Amino acid sequence: MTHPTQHLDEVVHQRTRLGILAVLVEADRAQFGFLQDTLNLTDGNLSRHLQTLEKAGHVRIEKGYEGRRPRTWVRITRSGRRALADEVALLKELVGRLDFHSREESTQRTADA
Amino acid sequence: MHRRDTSGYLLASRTLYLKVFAVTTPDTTGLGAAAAWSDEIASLQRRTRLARGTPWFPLTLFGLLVLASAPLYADPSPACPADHHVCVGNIDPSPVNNFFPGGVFTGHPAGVAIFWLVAGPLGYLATGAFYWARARCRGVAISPTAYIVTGLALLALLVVTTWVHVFPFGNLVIRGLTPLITIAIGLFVLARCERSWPLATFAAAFLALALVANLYDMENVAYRLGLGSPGFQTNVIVAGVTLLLGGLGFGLAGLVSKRRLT
Repeated sequence: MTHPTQHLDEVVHQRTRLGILAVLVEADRAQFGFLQDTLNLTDGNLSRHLQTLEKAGHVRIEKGYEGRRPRTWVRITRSGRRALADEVALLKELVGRLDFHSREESTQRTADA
Repeated sequence: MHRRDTSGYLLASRTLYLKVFAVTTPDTTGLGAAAAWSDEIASLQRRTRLARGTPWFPLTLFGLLVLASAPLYADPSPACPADHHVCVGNIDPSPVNNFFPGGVFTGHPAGVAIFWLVAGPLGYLATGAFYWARARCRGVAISPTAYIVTGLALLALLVVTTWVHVFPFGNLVIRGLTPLITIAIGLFVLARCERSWPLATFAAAFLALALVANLYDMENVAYRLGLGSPGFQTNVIVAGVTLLLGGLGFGLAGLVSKRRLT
C-alpha cells in the first residue's frame, strides 16, 4: 500500500492554488478582483498561480468587458473539482494517520508510566 | 528556504516538508499544519458562500406573486346560499382555459391562467436579472440558468399537457394551483445551483405544502379551529406567506452570518 503523499498533485498541493480552487468550487465563476481580495494576493502573484492552474486544465479564464471596464472571470473545470476533492481527501487521510500515531504514542506513554 | 509569498502563505516546498514531517513524525506541530489547511479551506468556502448571497430574492418575489394572485382564486359562487354545504365552482368555457390549468373551483380560471402565463416567466426573468446584477456587484457568481430553464419548461409543460388534454394528474388541476408545484420543483434546481442544503430542505417542505394546497381545502382546518370560513384563497395565502417567510429567513440568515464574519 502506497503512502498518501505519493498521490499528491504538485499543482494543487500549494496553499495559494488550493485556496483559489476552494473559492472557485463554491461558485460558478469569480472575478479576478474577488479572488485577489479574498486570498489577499497581488496582481502578479494571483496571475502566476492562475496560469499554472489553467495550464493544468483546472481553471478556465474568461476575459471580457462590462461597459468599458475589462473584467476577468475565472471558473473551475471538472478536472479542477476532481483535483481539489482528491487533495482534500488526502489531507483528511494524513490527519487521520497523525491522529492514529498520536493515540498510539499516548497509549505507549501511559503503559510506560 | 522558508520563503513567504505576499499573502503570507508558505510555499510548496515548505508545506510539503511539513506534511511529510507530519506523517513520519507524529508530533502536534505537523498535525496542526495539516489541520490548519483543512480549516483554511473550510473558512474560504464559508466566506465565498457568504459573498455569493442567499436565495432570498426568488423566494420573496414568488411569495409576492402568489399573494398577488389570491384575488383570482376567490370563491367562485358569491351567490351560493348560506345553507349550502357544497357549491360547485365555475367551469370556465373560455378558450384560454384549454391552454393552462386555471382550475375549476376558482373564481376566475381564465384570470388564473393568464396571470401565471405572464407572471411566471416574468418572475424567472427577474430572478435571472437579479442574479446577474448581484454577480456583477460582488464579483462572484452563481448561474441560475438551470433554475430559469426548469421553471419555464415546467410552465410550458403545463400548457402543452392542458392543450392536448393529457394532464396525467387528475385532481391536481381543479384548484388551479399547479404553478405552486412548478415553483417548488424549481426551488430544488435552485438549491442545486446554490449548493444549498437549507434551500433543498425548504424546497422539500414547500413541495409538500404545494401538493396539499392542490389536493385539499385548507380552509377546512381553519373552520375546525374556529377561525370561520376564510375561503378557498386560504391555500394561496398560506403558500404565499410560506415563500415570503422563507425569503425573510434566508435574508436574515445571510445578514447574521455577514455580521459574525465582520
